[in-house]
Amino acid sequence: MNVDLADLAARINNIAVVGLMMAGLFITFASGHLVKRLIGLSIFQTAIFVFFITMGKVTGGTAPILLPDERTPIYSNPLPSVLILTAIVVSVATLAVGLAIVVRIKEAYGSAETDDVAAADIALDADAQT
Amino acid sequence: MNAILTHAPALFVVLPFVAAAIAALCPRHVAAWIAAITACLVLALTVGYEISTEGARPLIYAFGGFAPPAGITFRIDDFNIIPIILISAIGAVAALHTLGDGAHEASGSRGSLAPALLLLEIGALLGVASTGDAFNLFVFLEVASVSAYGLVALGGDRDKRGFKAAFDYLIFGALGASFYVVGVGFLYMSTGSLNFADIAARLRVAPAPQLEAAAYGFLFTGLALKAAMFPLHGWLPRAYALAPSFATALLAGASGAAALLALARVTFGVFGDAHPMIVMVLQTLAAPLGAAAILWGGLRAIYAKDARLMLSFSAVAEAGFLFLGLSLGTQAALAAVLVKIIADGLGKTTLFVAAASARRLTSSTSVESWRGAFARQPAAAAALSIGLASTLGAPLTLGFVGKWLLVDAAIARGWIWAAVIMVIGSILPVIYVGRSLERVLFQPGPPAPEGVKASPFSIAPILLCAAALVITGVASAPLVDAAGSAAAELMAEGAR
Repeated sequence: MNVDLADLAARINNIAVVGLMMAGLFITFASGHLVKRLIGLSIFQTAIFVFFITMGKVTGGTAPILLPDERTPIYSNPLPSVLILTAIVVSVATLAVGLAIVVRIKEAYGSAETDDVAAADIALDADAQT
Repeated sequence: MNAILTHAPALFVVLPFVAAAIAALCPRHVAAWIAAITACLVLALTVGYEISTEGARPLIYAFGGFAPPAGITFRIDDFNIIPIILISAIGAVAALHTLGDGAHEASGSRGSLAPALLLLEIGALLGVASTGDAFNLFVFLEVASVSAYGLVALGGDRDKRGFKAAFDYLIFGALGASFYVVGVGFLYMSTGSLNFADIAARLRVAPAPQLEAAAYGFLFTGLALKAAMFPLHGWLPRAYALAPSFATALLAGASGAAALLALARVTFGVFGDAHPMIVMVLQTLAAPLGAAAILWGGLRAIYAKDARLMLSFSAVAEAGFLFLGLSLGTQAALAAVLVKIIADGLGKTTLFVAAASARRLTSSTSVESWRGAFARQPAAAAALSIGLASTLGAPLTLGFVGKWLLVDAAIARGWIWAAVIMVIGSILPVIYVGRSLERVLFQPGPPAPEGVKASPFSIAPILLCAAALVITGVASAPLVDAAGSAAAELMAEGAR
């Protein structure tokens, strides 16, 4: 298989995004602590923000501001950045709710380790069945 | 009056949001009343809008007067008006239930947060169903999800496993939304637009096969997570079983339906049923996984002792029916899916509210606690029985019509194996529904404790839902015709 290095270099942002996404996904599922799992989720979402923002970049482009002499400069696409502003708000809200739930889990179970909580749940399930 | 109806699409989303903010600041009883009144108003608005726009759809509502594709739009057409009414009806049932038998489930300082979260969820789900903008859909999905996490976590006050269920729901829900938004990114890269209709038009003019394939892969995975497609359903049974009953009534009835509706819109309205990527994903992913969900959900429901867990696994099986139906990819199948969504939504809401009323009298959540329910509280038990019968797919209920149409569509498509799976999936409920019905109707049970009575705020709405299930099941022609023309419209939208 031929790998075009120049092509790869031009898509370095996408490679970084995929790497970050996979790292985030792995942490989300493999981590032993509930807070770490939320951090993994945040990394995953941040990778998506990077994906959107780099998508709108135009080489040599600046911010989309109309200059006083009515010249239109080369500017990067602002829309993906604006979308991500919304997505960041959503992600912060989700993270906040998640952390609040972890606090309640810690209060109720006495631990925020995935294994401890799972073990307590299994014991409770067995109680509920009888 | 005219102005209200013109702006109804904006109002039925904004009204619950504003009311939610007010309700959160009020004492518990006031908050519950605000939620109930708002939800009923929203239902009146959606029904009034349907009647007043009969024959004039599709209608595009452009927010702030910014014309599409630049502005954000709501698109109300024959395809989504039926689910919009369904969602607002289920919302009204759930909100009235917070005044009735659900009132004691959220007490203390959280008493006024529950109605507020319920209103946020109703508004957001209506937004998901009506929006015509890909990114706006993401935002509504997340508003709906964040309020749903809160609603499920409220169940943790009574049973601490509810907190863990809410956490798992949050992880899966956030991942699902993230996958969806990556898909939107690829769509934007390939078309430069976020408006569904505009994206569809641009894809016809300038196809970008690789980007489209990547986009649909992510969109499908994200929405399948939200709609709990097997094996991405892991969060669902515990979340539904441990949340307060008014939350489960709304989530089980409407939230999966809204996600599936969004998936149908993206699949058939934007890409079109002839798109090679669509055909590939539907036939190699949605079809076998839908079939697996029907069997897995049905089997787990048989073994569940807890009534709510049983109903939750039954919901997993029903999601399987919907995915298998979507994967058929024909107009008849899409119409059948629409009918099945209505049957499942009304049925599940009825069942969860009725189960909550029954539990108040026995303070137990197991199926055994339904013993003698008919002698104790005939009205709730009647609704419970009709809901169970519709889940089973018994004739004269809408559940039967939905399953019949799906099997019919599978045979017409030539997928005999799918029809066989659906029939097996209709036999499995005989075991768990039969067992439950026997408890409800025939077995003797303990009498109701002194002074505890089921509340009319819970019972009257679910009796209406049960009546709707029977009426549309007996005289199914108008609804089936409406679903057929709705499916035809969506298919035409995405036709190449």
